[in-house]
Amino acid sequence: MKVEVLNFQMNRTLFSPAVFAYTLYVKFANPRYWIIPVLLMGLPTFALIIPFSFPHPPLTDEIQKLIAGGILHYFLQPIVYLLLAYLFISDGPAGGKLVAEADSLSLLFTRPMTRFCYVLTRYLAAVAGTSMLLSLSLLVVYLVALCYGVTAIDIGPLALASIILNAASWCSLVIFMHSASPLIAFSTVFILFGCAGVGNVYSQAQQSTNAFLELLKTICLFIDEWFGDFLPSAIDLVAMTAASAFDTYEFAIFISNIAFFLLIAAFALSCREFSYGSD
Amino acid sequence: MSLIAVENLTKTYRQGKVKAVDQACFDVQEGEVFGLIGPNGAGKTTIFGCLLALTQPSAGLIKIDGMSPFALDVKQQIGFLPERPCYNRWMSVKQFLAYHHWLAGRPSVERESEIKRVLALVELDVDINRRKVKEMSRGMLQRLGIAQALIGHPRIFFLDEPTSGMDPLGFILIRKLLLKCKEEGMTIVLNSHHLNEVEKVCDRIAFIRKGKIEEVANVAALSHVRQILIVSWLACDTDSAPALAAAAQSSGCTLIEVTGETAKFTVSGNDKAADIIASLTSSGLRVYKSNFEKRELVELFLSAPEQASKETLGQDFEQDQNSENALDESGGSKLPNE
Repeated sequence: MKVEVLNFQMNRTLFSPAVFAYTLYVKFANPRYWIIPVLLMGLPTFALIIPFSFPHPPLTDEIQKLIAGGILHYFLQPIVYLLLAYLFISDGPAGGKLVAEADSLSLLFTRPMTRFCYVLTRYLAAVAGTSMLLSLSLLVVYLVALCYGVTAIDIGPLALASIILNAASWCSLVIFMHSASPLIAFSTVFILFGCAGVGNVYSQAQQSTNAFLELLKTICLFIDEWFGDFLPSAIDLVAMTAASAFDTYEFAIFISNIAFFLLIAAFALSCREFSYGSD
Repeated sequence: MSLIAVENLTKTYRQGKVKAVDQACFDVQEGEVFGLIGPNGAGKTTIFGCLLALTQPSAGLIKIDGMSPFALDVKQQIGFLPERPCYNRWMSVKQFLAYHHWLAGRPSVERESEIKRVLALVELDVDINRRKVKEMSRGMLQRLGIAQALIGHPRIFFLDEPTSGMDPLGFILIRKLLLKCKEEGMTIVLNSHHLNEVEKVCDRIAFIRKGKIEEVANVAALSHVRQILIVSWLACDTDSAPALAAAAQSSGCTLIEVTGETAKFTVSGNDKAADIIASLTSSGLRVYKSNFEKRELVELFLSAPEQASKETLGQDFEQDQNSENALDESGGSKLPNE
């Protein structure tokens, strides 16, 4: 099968300003579409303000570290990144259909733009949007924390780089879901998160006497062993650099997963045919 | 050299079990209005999909301006009106058109004026800043679709069922617009099962049935082959049947109906009509009246053997006629060329 992604013309194949602008901010032109992003941004600040609104023990170094750890933990949560990536990448205004429909894409691809360009541009816009919102959120929570005397929250380059890398990781999964045909998108995610995730749980389970459960466990463990590394994961550069040795293997897997999902997103979109019932 | 050249285009689905397009061959010249006509499911939209690089042909070759349809230089030159208006519903009309202007790679300085120009072309009078695409009716969406297709000053304009969902005034608008585009030298490829509409704007048409192109015909030439000559003569005692048969045979025409002292022949030109009249007169029939009755394109298409297709096309044609009648009743304005 010929794949359109290989049909490169370098001058107009990598980036579309129109798609970038519409993914990043035009779809948020109406203020009512800001509600979910603002809620997600405000959540850590809200979580910080509530305990300080009530009588609380004096701030010790230990409590400061506990608060800082809790706040930073929020900025590593996959669900936060997935939600924001979905808001940017989905077809509607700040949240619509995740998987792009053939009918809406068909008109887009009659315009001078390659499918690889579409994938890359939407991805970059989503990463930029997600990173900016969460970095801004971190800055706000840092300033609010300062007002309460909490100085332990790290907003250094490593914390910001962690946000960008996590955004890059989860957006790559969402852009794949958006680009592939619904059947491929959902079955891939089901296999990765379902089987590999269950396999992970099974690996810690004790041996069962039920033959069927044992077979299921074997299958899941097999998938987990072979595909488990393809699961996007959260990365904390602050913790990684603080450790005695930087885990280059984990970091390499993390980066390669981003490249893998981007490539299969471009490949899946290139293979999609836009005609009646093609999905 | 043809602007669009299609050679042995084949598109199959389900590992070759379903043949949507079968060995289609045609070409479109620069500035020509080319129509693809055929019943629903004939493969017209699939051919469009291949021409627009939305689907990969299973076999065959497509060249647009000497390039593959996947080439960005080709996409830079085309405007496309899809059959199903699945546009970004949440956008305002202005946002939608600005988006497509930007996507078409046009300079931003001309964006505002270009949006106004295309909206005027399709006679869409809406509050473009506030009106959302999702708030528009089917007919208005169709107009918006045409506006977005025209926004990049395309050299080639592809229209998939352009009058779908439009009211009778919309029919007229589309026709007027296509003729204007034609005057400006735009190459138009039109896909429709509304034969009346196709006939009025197209230079050439391709008849498609079950994925095969049965014939590519020149519309002007078709008007010659599909005339019916009606001849009336004074009543007489002699049997007119032998004279009619002899006239048809000698002129190479077909006698299709005899009612009393009136007969109908299909003729392919004025000289053939003259031959028939001369033959009838020499046979002793006193011809006092003869005139042409133009056959509609649909009748020509229906003369092909596929009965199922005939029924479908017949229904579509009736819809066409109803729309035209409705227009007459509503007092809609007629174009000079109608």
